[in-house]
Amino acid sequence: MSQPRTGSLHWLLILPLLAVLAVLFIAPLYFVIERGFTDPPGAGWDNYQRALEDPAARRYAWNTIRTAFTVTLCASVLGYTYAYATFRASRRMRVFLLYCVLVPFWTSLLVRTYAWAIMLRDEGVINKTLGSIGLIDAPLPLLRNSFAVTLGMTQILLPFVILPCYSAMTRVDVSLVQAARSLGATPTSAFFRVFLPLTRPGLAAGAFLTFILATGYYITPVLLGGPGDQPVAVLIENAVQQQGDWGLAGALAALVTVLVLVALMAGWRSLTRSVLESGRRS
Amino acid sequence: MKRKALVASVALGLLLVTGCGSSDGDAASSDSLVWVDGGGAYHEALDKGVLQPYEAASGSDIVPEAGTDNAKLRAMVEANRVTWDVYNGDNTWGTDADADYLEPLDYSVIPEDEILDGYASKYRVANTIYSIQLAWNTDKVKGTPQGWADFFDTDKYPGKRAVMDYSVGGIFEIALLADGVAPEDLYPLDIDRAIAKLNTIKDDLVFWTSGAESEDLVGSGEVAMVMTYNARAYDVKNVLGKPVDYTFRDQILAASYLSVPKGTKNKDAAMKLIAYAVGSEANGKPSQYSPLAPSNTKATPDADMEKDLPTAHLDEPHAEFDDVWIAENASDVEAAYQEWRSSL
Repeated sequence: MSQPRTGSLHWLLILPLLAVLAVLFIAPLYFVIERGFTDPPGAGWDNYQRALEDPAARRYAWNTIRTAFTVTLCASVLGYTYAYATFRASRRMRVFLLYCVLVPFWTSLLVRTYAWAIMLRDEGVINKTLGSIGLIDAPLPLLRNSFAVTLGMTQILLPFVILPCYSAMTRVDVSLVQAARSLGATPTSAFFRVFLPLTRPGLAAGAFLTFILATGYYITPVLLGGPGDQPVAVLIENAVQQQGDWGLAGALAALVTVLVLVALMAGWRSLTRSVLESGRRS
Repeated sequence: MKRKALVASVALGLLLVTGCGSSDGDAASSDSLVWVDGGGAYHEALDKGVLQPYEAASGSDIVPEAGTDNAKLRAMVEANRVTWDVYNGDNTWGTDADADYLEPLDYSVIPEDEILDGYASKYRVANTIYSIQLAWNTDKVKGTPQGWADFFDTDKYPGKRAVMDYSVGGIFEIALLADGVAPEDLYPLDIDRAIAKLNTIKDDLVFWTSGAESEDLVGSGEVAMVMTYNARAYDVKNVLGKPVDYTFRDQILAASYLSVPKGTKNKDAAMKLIAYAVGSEANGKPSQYSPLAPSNTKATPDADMEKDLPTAHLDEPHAEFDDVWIAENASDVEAAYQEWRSSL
């Protein structure tokens, strides 16, 4: 299974991407973080102290982490289930189900978020329908709370769980499950003790991608959430746009980046394993 | 062969990436002026009433840009790459606190003595007056609310209230006015008192982040009342035709200001354009399209629009933002606001 070599200079192929990343991502990130230490001049760790001692920053950071965990959990359970249903479906049904995952993916995040807002609000489709058939007297509080944020973000992030899970499932040797059954395992036990462990790298990769993306979400929690769901990104935006306080913004941005890096390191093994495996098999 | 192609593609990639940054400065040639405002209906009114006539009369070319952004302006000045010539910022921008980023205005060409008292200063001059006012959905609210005290009275007028999610946009001011503080005693803001008042209706509060959202909230009836810009209240009632009404009682007056970023190459031309924009001939014209009141006392506002202009209701109780106090205390106000809002 040795890969064909493209010559000793094949690594050059990665240089254009690295150059783009260096100029458009790494350099700006560096400048933002640098200003966290140098704005105002001689600030040192002062901005970090301000960020860590600010009660609002602590609450918003907690909101960010809590939301990311909840969304990761919901997206993992729903995404894995959906991927499994797709995996077990007939060939034509499979194509249809995968399209259903991809089509919303082509729609702007902003449009989808506003669509949720229109459906969930007091005068929205859901409350109007439930009200008109007499199921509820007063509108249900569906919008501007954690429920709406979790719903909106889970729907948007689901493909990031479904696709790696589905990909992992197609690589499972189904005869292993059949072997478990023939040795007396119940279908449930065969699923949980054979199939699930074999597809775990896909699930872990999807979950970590979702968590990392969720920590950076801004529009969805702002538009769908209540005051208790606002992410730390709100403070960064306010610090830059309203206060011109790049020092605080830099410190907050650095702290969020560190959080994501820690999550990335925790999930690094399963991520790389899943990616390498899919590369090898396909 | 393969190697050459690789090297070439790498070189091309680097060229594309590094070449991007160098041409920005030429976007505005010497005889064109870049005018920056918030865009949308506001820009259209200014464009038809002021910018187009100026272009026709002076022969100069104005390049409009939508999206005022104080952070971007600061960054331009700091990097010494100023591409904006006239900046139409909101009331929080352009006091002496921003002296590092602005050119002093040339009042030898700008008619300072014709501008409303208090609306022309060293670095900025108001071109339109607007206000923060109370609007309500007429299906949800029976009767006519008489100002911010009624906004906070959920027994008399049940229903949700939408407020601007902006620490220095007036949320503390309306709470204090509702609590009985006299308009002239608003500043320095008693933030603890304002928060205590806001907490009396905290379960009914909805926060809006864009003017369009405020129109949607009150227009759809999702909230009974809203604090919003007078142009937004006007738009949702008169242009969109929603069941909405508004009052100028207790309005808080504010202005859009023209300023000139420090280091622009077109300083003199920018001053001339500002002089025209706040001059008695052009300053009243935007009110033909949008309820933007002139800042020039000698300008004639549109006759049909006049009753919807904030300046036509100065005989009723009203307040004014103290922009200088706000600029000096913005970071403390913001910290207190975020601490309160994050605890809801």
